[in-house]
Amino acid sequence: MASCSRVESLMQAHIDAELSPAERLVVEQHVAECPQCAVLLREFQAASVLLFETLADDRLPRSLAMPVMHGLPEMAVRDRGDLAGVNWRAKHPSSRTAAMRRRIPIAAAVVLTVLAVVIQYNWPERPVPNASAIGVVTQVTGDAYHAAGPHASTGRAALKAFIEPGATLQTGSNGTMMAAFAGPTYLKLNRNSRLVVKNDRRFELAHGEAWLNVGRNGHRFVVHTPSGDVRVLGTAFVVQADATATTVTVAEGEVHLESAADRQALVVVTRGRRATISRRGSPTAPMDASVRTATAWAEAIVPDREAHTLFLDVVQSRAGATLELPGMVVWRIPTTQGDEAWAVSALRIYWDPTPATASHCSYEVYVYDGNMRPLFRDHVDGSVFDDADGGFYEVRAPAGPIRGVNALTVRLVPDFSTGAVEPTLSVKALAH
Amino acid sequence: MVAQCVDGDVDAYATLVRRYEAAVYATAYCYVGRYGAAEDVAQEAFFAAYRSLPRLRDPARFGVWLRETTSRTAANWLRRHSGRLQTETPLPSRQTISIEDAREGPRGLLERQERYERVQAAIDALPERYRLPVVLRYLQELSYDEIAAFVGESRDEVRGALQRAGRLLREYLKAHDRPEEGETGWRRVRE
Repeated sequence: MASCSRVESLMQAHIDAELSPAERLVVEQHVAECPQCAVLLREFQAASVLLFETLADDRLPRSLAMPVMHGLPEMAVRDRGDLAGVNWRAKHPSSRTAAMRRRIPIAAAVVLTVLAVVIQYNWPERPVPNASAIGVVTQVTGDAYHAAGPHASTGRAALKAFIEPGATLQTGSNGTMMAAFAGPTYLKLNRNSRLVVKNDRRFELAHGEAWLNVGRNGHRFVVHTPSGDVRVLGTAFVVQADATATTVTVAEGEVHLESAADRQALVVVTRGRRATISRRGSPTAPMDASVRTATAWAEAIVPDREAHTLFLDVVQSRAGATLELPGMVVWRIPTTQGDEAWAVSALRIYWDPTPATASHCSYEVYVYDGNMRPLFRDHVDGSVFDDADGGFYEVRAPAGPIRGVNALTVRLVPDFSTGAVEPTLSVKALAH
Repeated sequence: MVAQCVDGDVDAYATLVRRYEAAVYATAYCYVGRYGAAEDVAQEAFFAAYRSLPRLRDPARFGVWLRETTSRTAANWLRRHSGRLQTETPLPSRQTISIEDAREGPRGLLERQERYERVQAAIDALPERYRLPVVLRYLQELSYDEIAAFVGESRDEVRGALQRAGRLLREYLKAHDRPEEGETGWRRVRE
């Protein structure tokens, strides 16, 4: 039998399936008879699995080929005018000396960069990414309309059109549309619907039916309807609204349905359930619902591939990387005056007057120094925020005043299992 | 393929980008992943490589040359942003969360974050020469042959490096099963 140290030296490659058949046999036979090595192999495996799983979130999310090729000035030119110059060298491979050959592509790149700029200016059809675009129309069928802003005229919705805050999306009796927003949030609009995009986290559904899949980026997402608001906690759901009532069916995650008439009336609708709210009343208690039936129309709408790529490249690439924990609130508090850092004895967490007198979520409080080195953690019970007049809660530094740091970073991470209402918070540091 | 690119064939370059993007991204991640800039730096590296392709002496060593270009690009990025990285608010930390994760609840998310920081600390604790092979392997799941071609070592050298790194990672993770307060230095932030 092979020695334990020999087998140990093969273990990582064994897990990575990089051993020859003969070596694999050596490891397998040995491990079957040697309990110590079997334990060791399991530890190697556990470490590998932990690494793979943990790093999976950071894996390259999409191919770089598109953005890279679009970023090359040569490509921009070729896309536009199919200028023969790009492949000039390929067509004249042997007409120059080697030294020249090395210099030409650089010169060509410079010339083509200039051309690319000029051509881009003279090419109005090319969708010039507007800095204020928060979304892209990714599918249109039948009669669908798009008004760019609150005062803009309404025209037919065009695939790949950029959506800006204040835009209105509308569908006729035979039209549907889909749009993607920074977050990412995906919206599908059923027939006879009208929705105003206040911003990428706030929609107003005047009437009709919308399917939404909302990305979590830590900011609250709200759909206003005449009868009340649907406050989203990261999720997929369908909202139907008309002038008198709003129904929400939740496919994933959960939402709050908040009455427009009564600020305190609120229900939490979880996965596979549905609740209705009328314009003048309180929400009904959530009941079980068929998600499949409710979302059947939306399943039929799939994004146009090119329009979706445009969204990923232009809108989401700008905003998509700011995702953070849901509902997490973060402050950075400078603790210097002039060049002097002052000592901090405690933090005060203030909450605004709130209509809710119960079911606030509790928070884990994490305090770091300016370089994100943890200093201490604490816990605030949700019942603290039940005082409707507002107030503050003091968190004292456990090991005495914090000295010699030039800033504090405070993270409050909500625990929704203790309650679903998030108070509006602010944080101050107290000098010693 | 490389020769075609040197001759100005942009389609050939797109093919090269697809072939090497995982490795270039993982290399960038080693340097600037904690600042959330790996994708940007990987793109920059491909631009830089395209510009300097005509200076590539030995097309057979394209992978190694591309790794060097990526390292240089990442070093430049760090230099360019050094002031900001020290002073600017490192917020918010990036955390992509799927709906499945969200069901774990906030405590589950915190555990994930702690696990994430522990794994990053384990990688940071490795001798520098092991870090890139480890990230190529665990982040982008490259095979030993692919890693060898990219780092310019033989397959056996890569296998040996990953074996030793695997042992160190196992020992570190075992010793740090619970994260210690005050040790979470790794963070991702975005420009």
